[in-house]
Amino acid sequence: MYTSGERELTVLDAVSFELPVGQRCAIVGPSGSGKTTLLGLCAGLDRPTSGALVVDGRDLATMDEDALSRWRATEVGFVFQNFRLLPTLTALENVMVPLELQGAARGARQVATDLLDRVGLGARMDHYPAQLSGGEQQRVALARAFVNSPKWLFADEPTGNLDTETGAPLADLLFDLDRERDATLLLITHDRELAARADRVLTMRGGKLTDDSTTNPPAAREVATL
Amino acid sequence: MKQVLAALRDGWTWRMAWRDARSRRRQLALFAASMTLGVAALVAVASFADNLRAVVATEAKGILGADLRVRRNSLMDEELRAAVYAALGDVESTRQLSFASMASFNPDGAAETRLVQVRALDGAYPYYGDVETVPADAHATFRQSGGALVDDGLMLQFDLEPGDTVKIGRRSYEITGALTKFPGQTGANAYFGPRIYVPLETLDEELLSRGSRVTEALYAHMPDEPDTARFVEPIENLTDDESLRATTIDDAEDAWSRSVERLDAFLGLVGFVALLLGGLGVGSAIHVHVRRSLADLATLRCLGATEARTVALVTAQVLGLGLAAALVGSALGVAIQTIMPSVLADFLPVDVPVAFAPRAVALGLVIGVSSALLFALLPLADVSRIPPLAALRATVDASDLATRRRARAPLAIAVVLGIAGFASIQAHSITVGLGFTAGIALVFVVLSLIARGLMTLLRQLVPSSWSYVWRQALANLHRPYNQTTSLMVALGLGAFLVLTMVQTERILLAQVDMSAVGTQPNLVMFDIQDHQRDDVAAMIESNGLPLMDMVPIVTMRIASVAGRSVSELRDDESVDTPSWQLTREYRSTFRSELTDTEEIVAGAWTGRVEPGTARPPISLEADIAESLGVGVGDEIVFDVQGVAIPTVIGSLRAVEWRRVQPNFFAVFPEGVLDAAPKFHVAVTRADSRDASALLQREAVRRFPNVSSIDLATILEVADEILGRVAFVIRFMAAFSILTGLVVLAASLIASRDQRIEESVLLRTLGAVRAQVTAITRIELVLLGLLATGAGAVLSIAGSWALSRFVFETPFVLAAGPWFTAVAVLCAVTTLVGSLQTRGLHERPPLEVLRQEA
Repeated sequence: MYTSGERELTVLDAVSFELPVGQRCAIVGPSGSGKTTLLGLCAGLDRPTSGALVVDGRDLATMDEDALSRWRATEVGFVFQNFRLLPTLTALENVMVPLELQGAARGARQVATDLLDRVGLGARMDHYPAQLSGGEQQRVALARAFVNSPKWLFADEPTGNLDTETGAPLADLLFDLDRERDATLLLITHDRELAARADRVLTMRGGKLTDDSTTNPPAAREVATL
Repeated sequence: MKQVLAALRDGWTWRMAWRDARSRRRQLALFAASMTLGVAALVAVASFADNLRAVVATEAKGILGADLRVRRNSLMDEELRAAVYAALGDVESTRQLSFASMASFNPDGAAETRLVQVRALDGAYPYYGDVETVPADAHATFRQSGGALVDDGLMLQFDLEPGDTVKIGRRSYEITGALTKFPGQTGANAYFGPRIYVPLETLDEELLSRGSRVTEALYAHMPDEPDTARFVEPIENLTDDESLRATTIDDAEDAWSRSVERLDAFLGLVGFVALLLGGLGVGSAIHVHVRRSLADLATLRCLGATEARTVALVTAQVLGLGLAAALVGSALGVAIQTIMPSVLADFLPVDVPVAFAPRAVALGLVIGVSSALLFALLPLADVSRIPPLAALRATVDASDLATRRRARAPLAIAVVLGIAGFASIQAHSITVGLGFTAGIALVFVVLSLIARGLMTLLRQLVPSSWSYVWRQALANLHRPYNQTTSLMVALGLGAFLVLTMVQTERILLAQVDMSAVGTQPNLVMFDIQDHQRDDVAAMIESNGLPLMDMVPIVTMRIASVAGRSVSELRDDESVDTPSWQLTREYRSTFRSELTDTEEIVAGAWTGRVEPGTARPPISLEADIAESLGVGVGDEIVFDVQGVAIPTVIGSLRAVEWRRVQPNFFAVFPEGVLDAAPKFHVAVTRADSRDASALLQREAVRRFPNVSSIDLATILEVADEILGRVAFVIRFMAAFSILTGLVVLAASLIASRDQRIEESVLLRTLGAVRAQVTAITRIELVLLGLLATGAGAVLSIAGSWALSRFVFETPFVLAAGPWFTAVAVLCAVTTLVGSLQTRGLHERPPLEVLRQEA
């Protein structure tokens, strides 16, 4: 629930689902349907006004801000629609940040270098975001998202700012890396084709979950119950 | 807080802060530059004060010129002088008489006259410190040759050379040399009364006649005496009226140290104003920086950075910025320090060496870094409120961050307390520090209110029918991340200081000038003895000038007020009458009528009483009556040169003091003081400087003990003194204006990308380059106009208040300086702004659009 001026808006209403470990799940729906809010809640970026959000048996809604930050640093990876690279850092430095935040600065450079090689940017590690194309920036963002070997990967329209030619190989890369590292993926997209590559597609409309088409059976552990 | 400190100990925080700052170096450097000038001013002042303190401590002997000085504000009688000599024992000493007298130069040719301070010496004083003369040996020889040492300013003014003649009283002296430096004397002394040293034994005794204010001092040379302080009490006790004062070298050093502290405090606060303005600049720069970094900081939060880490990250940048500003400022301050001694030379009794003062530099570094942190507190608090969700949503607006007013209040209080703390350190006083903070806060608030008021007014004045260029320029003042208010405060404060100074100068000079027009008196002759009275009157009239007044003056002191003796009143802590008002010499008159500068405000005027009336009713000036705590019907006993005269207050008068004519605290009715020892003051008006000079020359020739002062001399002195004060005010204003310009340059750099974008958009939409340039120019002119306008409005209020409550003179509005100041500051603002926005509109739109994409 959000307060907008005098009015209270209910953005998500009675949304409930479970996400098994290792599953790749896409959320689709029109603008304003509550997709981003749902993603933010699952990633512990925001708190629900009511309900529970249980990850690995821990209710995110009851964790304090610092605990959430530590959880994100160690177990979560993010890919943003507008890349969100720190413009003042080089590609390599951007990728190193999550590891450095955990205090693992020593091995960070090597891990980050390997990942940048893996996403095909080994030769452009010292470039600043402004010196990279959109596709290249999102590759750096992918490398950054996987650098801490996350258990959970949250992607918000990862190809939304890219043209089809650039977006398709990037989507390949995203799913390849995800598979290699066995991260559970929650992906927001408008792109039906991209959504179709997921194991499961949740459809949102007006803050409600209107459709849940699952192609793979759920595993034992639940990610989120809302 | 603990977590932020812990994060600050983590190397990653500093590494990340450095990485982030790397690409914004130019912008951040300019932000830091806003504080540099303030730190420079503080370091320069503190270094100078430290060096001055050190030199006062080591050269204290040279300031007093002797081991002990015994002084009385009147002539000692033979008996008292002998008692002082006896108390001092068998030591070398010099007797010095000081008094004001007319000096006449080149009496054989076209003589010129001037009121001077005569110092007559009978010994080798000063025993310590340097006397500098031209020629160099003049001080050693003037007493043997019976010559005179004349202030070099006088020598210049009257085009005199050694060998020329000066006449004081009935004696003529050959000028042995020009005096440039004398221990304990500052250059400023010469403005109030230029000095002429002559041998005491050659002095015309008539100059010491009744009415002359002679100060007598004995300077003792006792290099082998370890404890000169032991002489103080026995000597001061030789009289029971506290008129004898003994001063040791330590006392002189203390007195000067106190002056140094005051100078340090005053100039320190001046520098602190610049630092505050710079701090405001840094505060708003950090605010902009945080708003710009919103998405990056939110992303870091998404990547797992804790709230404390993001706060620590920006804190590290602020600290780095503060340190850089403090280092550069300190270096600049050390450089500025080298010019301070020459600037303030006129006010100093000693030569101040230029030396590196570590304490001052440390102070600059500490205050620089901590002010940066202090002013960044509020934007730093915003950092802690950045939600990680802001990385996902473009709609999370910066304005969401600043909503919790309650949380900001303690921080705002901390900022104010911090400022008060720094100000107290600078002023060496908590009261002054708090007063300064309250005052400056008031000025800041009023300036920003006026600026905003003017801005609103301007918006309403610019009708929607005006051209787009004008409307857009005006709208630009409200652009996101604008620093309009801090610019207006900084530039406005500078304008306020400059204009208030100019205006006050005008008000005071206009006041003196008023006496120059019409039929008001402009020449006063004093110390006229009883037997000279008629001759002086005749001389004035024979010169064709009107004798406007001839007033008898009787000197007296207060013996008791409402039945309580002066010493009783001084010992009573509940009495808040200033001590000097109880012990001063009152120069009173007697007459039957009120003058046109007086008005009875209470009681009834009595013009005449029968001789022998027991308690004659006198008229007391209203302000001094209030200060003495007396009113109509109270008794005051005066000691008129040894005779106690009880009086009762019959009336209170309001007196217009500013005329060039004698006014009095106490006026007696005729019939009481008629036979008392007295002298007279004659008042006249000369319509030209020549007529005035002619009369003064004749007076010097015929009545050597009579001194005169005319409006022209008063104007000269007022001009000199105001000129000196104006310098310090300009120093303050210059730092403030320069800081304002740096803040302006920094804010233009900060908004450069935004301006490029706007320019490209406008040109894409069909605007020609001239239109785009015009928008920026008009915006800059408006900014300058509003800032200086706010300063001007406040200065009108300020100088009106000064004229009404401090100088108690009619307010005179001098429009000229306002227009000049507003025009000059607008031009400078536009120039600096144009330099910073140079090349902005040169880039082809496509190139920029591509980059944007």
